[in-house]
Amino acid sequence: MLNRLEKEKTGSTPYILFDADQHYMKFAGESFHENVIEFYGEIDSNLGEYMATDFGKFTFDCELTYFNSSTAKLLLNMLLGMDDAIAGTDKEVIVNWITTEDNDIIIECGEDFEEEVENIQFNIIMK
Amino acid sequence: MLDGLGLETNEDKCVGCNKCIFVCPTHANDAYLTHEANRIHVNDDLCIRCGECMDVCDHAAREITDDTVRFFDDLSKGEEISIIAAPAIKHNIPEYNKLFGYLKSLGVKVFYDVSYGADITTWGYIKAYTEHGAESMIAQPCPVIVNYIEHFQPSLIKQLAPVHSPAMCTAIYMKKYREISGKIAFLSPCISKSNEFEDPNTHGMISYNVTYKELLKYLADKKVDLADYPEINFDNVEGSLGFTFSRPGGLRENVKLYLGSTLWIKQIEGIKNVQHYFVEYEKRVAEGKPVPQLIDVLNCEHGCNVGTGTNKTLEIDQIDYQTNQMKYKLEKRQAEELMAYFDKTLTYEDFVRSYNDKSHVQVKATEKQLEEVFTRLEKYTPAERKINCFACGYGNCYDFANAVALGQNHIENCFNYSQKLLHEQALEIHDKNEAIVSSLEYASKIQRNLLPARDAFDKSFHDYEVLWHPKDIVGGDIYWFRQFEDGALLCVCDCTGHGTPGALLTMLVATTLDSIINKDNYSDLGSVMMNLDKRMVEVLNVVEKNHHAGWKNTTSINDGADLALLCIKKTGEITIAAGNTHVFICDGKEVQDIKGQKIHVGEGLITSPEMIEISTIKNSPNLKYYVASDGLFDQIGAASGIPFGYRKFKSIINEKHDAALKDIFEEVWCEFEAHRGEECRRDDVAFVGFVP
Repeated sequence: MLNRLEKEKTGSTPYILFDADQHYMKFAGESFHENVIEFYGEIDSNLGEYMATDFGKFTFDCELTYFNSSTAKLLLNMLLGMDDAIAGTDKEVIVNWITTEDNDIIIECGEDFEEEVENIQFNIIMK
Repeated sequence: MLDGLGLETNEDKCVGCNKCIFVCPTHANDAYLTHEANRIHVNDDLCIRCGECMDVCDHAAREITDDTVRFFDDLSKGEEISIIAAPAIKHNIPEYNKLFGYLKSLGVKVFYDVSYGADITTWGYIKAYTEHGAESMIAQPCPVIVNYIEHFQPSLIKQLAPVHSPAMCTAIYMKKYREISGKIAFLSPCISKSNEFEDPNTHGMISYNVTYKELLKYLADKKVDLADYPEINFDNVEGSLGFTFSRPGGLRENVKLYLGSTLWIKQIEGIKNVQHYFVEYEKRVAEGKPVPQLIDVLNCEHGCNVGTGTNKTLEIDQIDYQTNQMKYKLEKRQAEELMAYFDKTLTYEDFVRSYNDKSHVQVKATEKQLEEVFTRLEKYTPAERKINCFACGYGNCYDFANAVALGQNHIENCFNYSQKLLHEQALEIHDKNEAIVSSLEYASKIQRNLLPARDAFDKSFHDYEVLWHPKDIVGGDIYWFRQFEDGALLCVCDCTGHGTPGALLTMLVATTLDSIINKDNYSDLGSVMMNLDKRMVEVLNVVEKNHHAGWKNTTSINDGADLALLCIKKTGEITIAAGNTHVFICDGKEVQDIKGQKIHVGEGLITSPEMIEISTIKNSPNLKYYVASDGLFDQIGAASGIPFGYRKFKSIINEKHDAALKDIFEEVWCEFEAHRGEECRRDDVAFVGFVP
């Protein structure tokens, strides 16, 4: 597992950061690359390994302004994976879904994701 | 003994501008590719250490290597070392007496002025002319010139003055006549002196070449304040005019002082001037034509005071002023006495040096090799081989081709070739792009043909409008429609992806709907969804899986579709089943937003029709229905940086509710484009509106 993984944003992929030591993950920008599996593969497997460890609290800041349906599926799977990992334990996962008041599309996506998770503290934050 | 080449390249700082190749007098710079980047390094076989590349490089990529650090290390280990200082020290380090105080405190034995050695050199030259039959001599204190002649013009070796340089004469004097033991370090303005001291013909008499540049840097790094040290003077007796050797014409001044103005002395500086002159000189010598008796020659245009081992910050007039002041103090009587003293005490043969022919046959590429390179460069005509621009640094296409043939350069360094390559690549890209686009445009025709014809809606609706705008010629969004006796089925479908992959999925959905829908089942929306899902799973070989069976699952997203099914019965009942697709119903006062279920078609998860949520609407005449794929709402705008959104859309369809759908759609698309601005399209758009 890579303790720290960071990728600068490109035309069709977002800025992503995973930091196991800081117990933190961040996505920001747009995500509409055709092959999301290839792009997110590494960070996803890092997250998976991390979730199996005995962390206390993990924070995920998600600040995407646009994402295609493949990304949406992947995000959902990630969230559900994290949700399962902390079920029945003392571990905490905080997801900050960061957007702006006028972005009803992203707000709605956030609300949809919020409905899917049970154990994650899901916050929709409007900047 | 002496290590360090004198000059080396810092590859990290080099940017491959080729200026060093341009200024190098001996083609001693080789260009190579590293990670597709052009870099240049010194070719040690050919470098004469003239310093031109150091001057021209504005990336600080050419660095001095000398013996400064080794000198201080050895001194600290207790090595017995004496210092000799070039005349240039008086200008470069005016507080040199204090420097000597510092060096003495570190254990340096004695301090000798190379100006004294220069006087001995002068004496040796006079002896050469008056007693040893010298006719035409090339002065040799400049080691760059000696390097050049030994390596590139060995026929001139016999013209080189047979007397050692001032530094060497000082060392010989110290060892033989003053019996000073131990090693000698030279405080030096010149990187090429390292070569002189390494040469077998100087017998290892001087062990360290300590340049002022590196010395001053060393003192600064160690935070040495020379003011803290006492002044120490040179240990040698005072000499004569030897201190002028470090400026152009200094040697000439000295020789003239004793041999008078009848001696034909030529003074020349600057390696390119020298190269040019030596060609003529060699010819005249060979032909027995009159040539100067002494050629006072220096590599550095302004002399050793601003040589390759200095910081080159001194002003020439200041140097001359100071030198002249020192001259005025001198008396002719003093000079003559010195020469008489040398006559009495020194043996000429002790100060004689010889030279070696170090030239090797300059390998030149053969005609055939040149031809090969020109072919690779795609230079076929004489004009193309004579462009002679300076991009590669050579200024001559044949020289460049020669260098490439010998492995000293690479074809990518040729600007003309690179341009041709880029042009060819651009043409290839253009052709490929045209082929791809024309293929897509034909595919687009096929895709359009599978969309329902406009008149399919004619018989079914009072008003309707469709908008189908793929992102890239073909797209992943379609709409499907069929009218039956008692009703109709409309499907608006957004397949995963866009472009060609999306388009292939739309073909699958359309043909599947074609084959499974009939007059008996079209209104059973749950079954329609389930069967469509089943068919897609079959055709696309999807392995059924659960949503979250561990992390492995995330990395196998499969393809599918988000769609809305609307069954419009003639009775006025409208049923809706939708997965991740909004259906908007507007009555002119407000807009009802039927969000759709969170379910994807094509994942094998729709196992029974009952899983599908159905909404039922009782139609009334003032209602207008709208279904669109997310490409309409998710489009990021250039100015706002956020998506188009539902709010904007809902307000338009509500405000313009009374207009014809055609006008409403025009307004929506107009606003969409205004919002999008310069931003690229993110996704396909399929948008259908109808009034039952």
